Amino acid sequence: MLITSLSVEGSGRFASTARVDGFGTGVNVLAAGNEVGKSTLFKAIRTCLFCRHDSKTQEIRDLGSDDSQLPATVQLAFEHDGKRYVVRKSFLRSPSAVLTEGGREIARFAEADKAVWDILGISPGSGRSIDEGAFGLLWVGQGSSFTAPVPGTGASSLLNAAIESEVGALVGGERARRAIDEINAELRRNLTDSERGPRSDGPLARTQDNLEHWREVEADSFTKLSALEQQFTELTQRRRRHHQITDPGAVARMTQELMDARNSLREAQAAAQEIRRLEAESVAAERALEGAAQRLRQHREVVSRIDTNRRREADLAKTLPEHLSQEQEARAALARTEEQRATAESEVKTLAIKEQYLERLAGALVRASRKDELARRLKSLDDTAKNLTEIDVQLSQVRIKPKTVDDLDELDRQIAALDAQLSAAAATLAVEVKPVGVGQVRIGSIRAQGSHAAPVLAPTKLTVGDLAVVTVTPAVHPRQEKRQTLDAERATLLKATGVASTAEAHVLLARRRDLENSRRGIFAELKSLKAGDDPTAACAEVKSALAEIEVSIEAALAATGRTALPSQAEIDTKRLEYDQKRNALDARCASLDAAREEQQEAVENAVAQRTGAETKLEMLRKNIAEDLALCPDADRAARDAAMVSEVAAGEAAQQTKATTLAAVRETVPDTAEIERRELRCQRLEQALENHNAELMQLERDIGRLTGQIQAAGGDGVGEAHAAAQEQRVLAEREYARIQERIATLQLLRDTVGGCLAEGRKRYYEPVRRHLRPYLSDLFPGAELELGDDFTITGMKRSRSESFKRLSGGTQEQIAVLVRLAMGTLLAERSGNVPVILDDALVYCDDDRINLMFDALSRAGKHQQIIVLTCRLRSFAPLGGHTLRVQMNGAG
Amino acid sequence: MRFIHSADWQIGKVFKQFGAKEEALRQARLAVIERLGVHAKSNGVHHIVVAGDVYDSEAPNSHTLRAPIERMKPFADIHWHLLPGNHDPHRPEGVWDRVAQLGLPPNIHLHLTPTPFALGRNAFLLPAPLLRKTELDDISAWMDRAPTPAGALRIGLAHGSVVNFGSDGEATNPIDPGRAANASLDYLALGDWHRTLQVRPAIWYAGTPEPDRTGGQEQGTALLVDIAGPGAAPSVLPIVTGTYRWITRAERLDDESALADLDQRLRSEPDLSRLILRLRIEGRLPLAAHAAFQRRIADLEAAVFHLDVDQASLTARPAQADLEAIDFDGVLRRSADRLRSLIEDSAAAPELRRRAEEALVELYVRIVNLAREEAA
Repeated sequence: MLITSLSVEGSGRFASTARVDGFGTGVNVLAAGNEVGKSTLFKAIRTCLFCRHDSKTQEIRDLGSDDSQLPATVQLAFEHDGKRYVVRKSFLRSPSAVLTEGGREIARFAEADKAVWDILGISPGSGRSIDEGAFGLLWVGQGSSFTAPVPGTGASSLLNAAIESEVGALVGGERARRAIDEINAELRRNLTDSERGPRSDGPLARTQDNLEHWREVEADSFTKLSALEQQFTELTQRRRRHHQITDPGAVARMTQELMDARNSLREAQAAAQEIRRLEAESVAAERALEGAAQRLRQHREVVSRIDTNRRREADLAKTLPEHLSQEQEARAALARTEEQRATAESEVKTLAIKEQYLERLAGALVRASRKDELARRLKSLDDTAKNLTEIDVQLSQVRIKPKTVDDLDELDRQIAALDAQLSAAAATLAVEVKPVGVGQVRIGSIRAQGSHAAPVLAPTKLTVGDLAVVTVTPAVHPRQEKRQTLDAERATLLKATGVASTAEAHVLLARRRDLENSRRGIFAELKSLKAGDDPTAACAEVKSALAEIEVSIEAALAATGRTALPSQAEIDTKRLEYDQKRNALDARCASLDAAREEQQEAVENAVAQRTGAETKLEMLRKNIAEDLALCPDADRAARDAAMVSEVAAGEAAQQTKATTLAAVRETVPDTAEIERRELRCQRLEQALENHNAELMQLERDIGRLTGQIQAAGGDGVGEAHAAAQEQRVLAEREYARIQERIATLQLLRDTVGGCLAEGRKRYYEPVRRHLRPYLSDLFPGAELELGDDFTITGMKRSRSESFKRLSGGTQEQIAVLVRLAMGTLLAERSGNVPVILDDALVYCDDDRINLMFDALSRAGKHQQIIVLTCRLRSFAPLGGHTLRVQMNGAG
Repeated sequence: MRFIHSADWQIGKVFKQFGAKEEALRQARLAVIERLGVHAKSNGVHHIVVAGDVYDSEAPNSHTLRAPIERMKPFADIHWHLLPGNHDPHRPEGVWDRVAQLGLPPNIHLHLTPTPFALGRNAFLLPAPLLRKTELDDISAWMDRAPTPAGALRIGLAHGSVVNFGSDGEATNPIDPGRAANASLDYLALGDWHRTLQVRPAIWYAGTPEPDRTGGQEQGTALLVDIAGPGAAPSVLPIVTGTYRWITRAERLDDESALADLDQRLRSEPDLSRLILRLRIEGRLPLAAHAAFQRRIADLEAAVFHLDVDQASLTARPAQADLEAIDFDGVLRRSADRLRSLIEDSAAAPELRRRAEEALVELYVRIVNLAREEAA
């Protein structure tokens, strides 16, 4: 099919007739701005070919022009199979349709509609719609170029016919898809979409949960059953043991054995008691014997001590006079030494007085040497004090302050400025005194000579001899008042300062500054004299020091009885003499002190020896008296004989007790035997207690186990366990069955799916072959992946990419390329249909759009390509036939 | 002396694999007791000896515990002699103490100790109760020394495996097959073996009165024993006590005619509604026949009480017609061919080949159904 011309009237923006000319084979481009009516033309072609002329669908109503009272009329001329056709249809108002072939009308009205469809190979669809076939695939309206082409039934039939004419049909594909869909549906019921795990609400998950449930129930029931078995075993053991330990014979034997052991122990304990009594008596006899012997020993010791003390008393009485003589000699020597020490002490005191006088004279001599220096200092201070007093008096008379002088200067400056201003503003009194008038003319009190000119600031009298007195009074100037105020302030300040003028004030201030400098010099001098800021007080201090020195010299002379101070040499000689005397006296005193200490020690030793001898003698006499009180000389022999007899009796009694004890010991059990009997009793008592405790424990255990077994029996744990086991087996079997079923279905699906993919790949090869050159123009080496019904699922370059994940621009470019390839495929199979692109390739960059133009040019070799675009400059490089809209009347 | 010898009632046994039908099987085991009572009455029998395993578990629930007692009570003229077996050994506070605490009527006797028990004036029962699940010693040995009056019949009652007799007995509790002779027993009533069996002239296993598995005794029975006098050979007559028949059939199917034949034979079994059938099928069936087999199995399952089919050894052999039924060419045919190759690949894992076989059958069934839908 080749569209050759189009005219539109009463459609959209074309209220009057618009004609598009210039159609040709290959690429045709209608480039015009927005709202020119390109899309209206596209719709007009579609409506003219595919719609019934008497249809009132929304699409046709949209085609009509709002302000046109005419019907929407479209006339399309095209060539097909070598014949020229013109179809003209009017819609909405006075609908009509006429089809001509080679200029001859061949059909009208509905027949014309149908005849067009027959020529183009499209068929009416259900109801009033039609299947546009390849036109629906290759004619892309505004905004539709972005979506991948999805061929309708007619287009698919055409494509399938074209493909099958080359590679044959894809047999069983539809059934395979249905089978796969059904299998997937069943798998989806069991598995998640990724098939990595069971679907939570599916049969597999339920079976798995059921299996887990029964495993838990079985484990639980097994635990209970095992516990019951254990309880049965324990109960049997406990009962057997209970039977054993409740045997009456055994219990009686244990009891009798304990009684026998206790009796045996009691006998042994009684014998041990007798032994302890005899041992106590034996010990008492031994103690009595020891007492008698002790008393005999003590008696004999007293007798011996009396005799010894009597001998020592006699010896001491002989040495006592010798001790008294030695004491008297020592005391006499000590008295002599103390007398010598007192003499030396007196000499020392005399020497000390002399040394004291000498030191006093030496001090007076030192102080006398400072008198001259103090007198000089006193004179300097006196002079300085007089100068300072004089300067202070002068300063008190010159009181002017620097700020006052500054204030006066400022007032003078302001007055001068005002005077200058007043002078400038004042009238000038100019007088020229001629020679004859010399001396005759006075201005104020001044005698004028020659030329005179001055401003008149105040009333001025001009006296001309006696001829005239002219008073010139200036007008009152506004600044005059200010000038007067300043004058008053200066007068007040001068009066307060006590000066007549500012210059005098400056002189006084200079004088004051000189005095202040002199005063600072005096203070610096005082500072060098270390006299502080008050020279009068410093003078008083120096005078006081001089007086004190005089007093101390007088006192020293009076004390030493001298009339004048000695010289320093005389004092030094005396000092040497006194030092020598003192050293000799100190040595003598030390020697006497050492002798005195030695003699005092000798006296103390002599006294101690004497008193010791006296004390010992007294003690011996006292001891002798005490011992004689215990043992008078007259009873000595009788007492000794009685005590000897008492010792002999004690020895006999002790021997008797020891013999009895040894005899009894041989007849009773020893300690080890008693201990053994005690241990045996304890062991048997413990055994009996253990027996009773075990019996109680057994009875408790039997009761507990009986209760547990009865409870478990009532619960029917054995039956429950058997049921749980069978349920678990059933659940396992069902789980395995579903898993096997899933695996079988997955195998079947994958097998059928694999075969279907292979078949589809072979089937789509013609499409892919036609697509390859176009695709290579833009995406070298790329391959498109096609799914069912020619859908584009992805593109494979270095890796497979989902079509939906590609950029919008790339998606549009691929969609257009696929349409071009399909158009080429159909064109080669006598299905030559123009490709119309309305406002396509919107997002192409500069490189891509040129490549797309190459692809369009490539497609133009096989079929007519009509491109409608508003991008005039961008599409200029496309070339091809340029279409223009020719308007008749207002458009 | 005439009595009935029964054993292995195993009251309370669970049958969870039967789903909702479980209760019917449990009730059938209780119905045995009434049927024994009826048999006893009709044969003038006053003693029924049960050789162990009255209960399936030694910890049954209270209802299970009471149910058999209540079934025996109406038969007041009949003495029921119950013996603990390996499923319900007598242990302190165990199942038998619980039964005793129920308050038994005088005609129900629990033989919990190896003590002679007089069955009338001239016969003594010598019970050998199991006191644990497994005994290593022959607990019937005491019968050799058991005193009974001279001229009295001596009837032994025990539960266990006869020594060297079969290896598939239920327990290892040994019983010397010479016990009858050694203990001068006129009859040794045994339990544990779930098939009626004569071990020696006077030693019998009663078999189960109601089977609980396939591969064993098909019909539940007990033994009617008649002994003329001491030393006389016992007359033993099996009597039917069971409700359900448990049968196993192993068949080979290689074509549809064998399938039809099997179907006909199975359907000719009596009383299908009380038949528990385990079917082991082997062979190789074409896909069409395989699908037909599945349909017949589904039909048969609805006809019998329970059907358990083991078809692990039945393989699908896709015939040319099967493959053509899937498609002559195209995607589906290639899929079928690929699965068939996998089935025939001896290097492939067996489970994968088996799975491929099931997948091929699945494909066949689905495509046939699709074709049927499309044709409709």
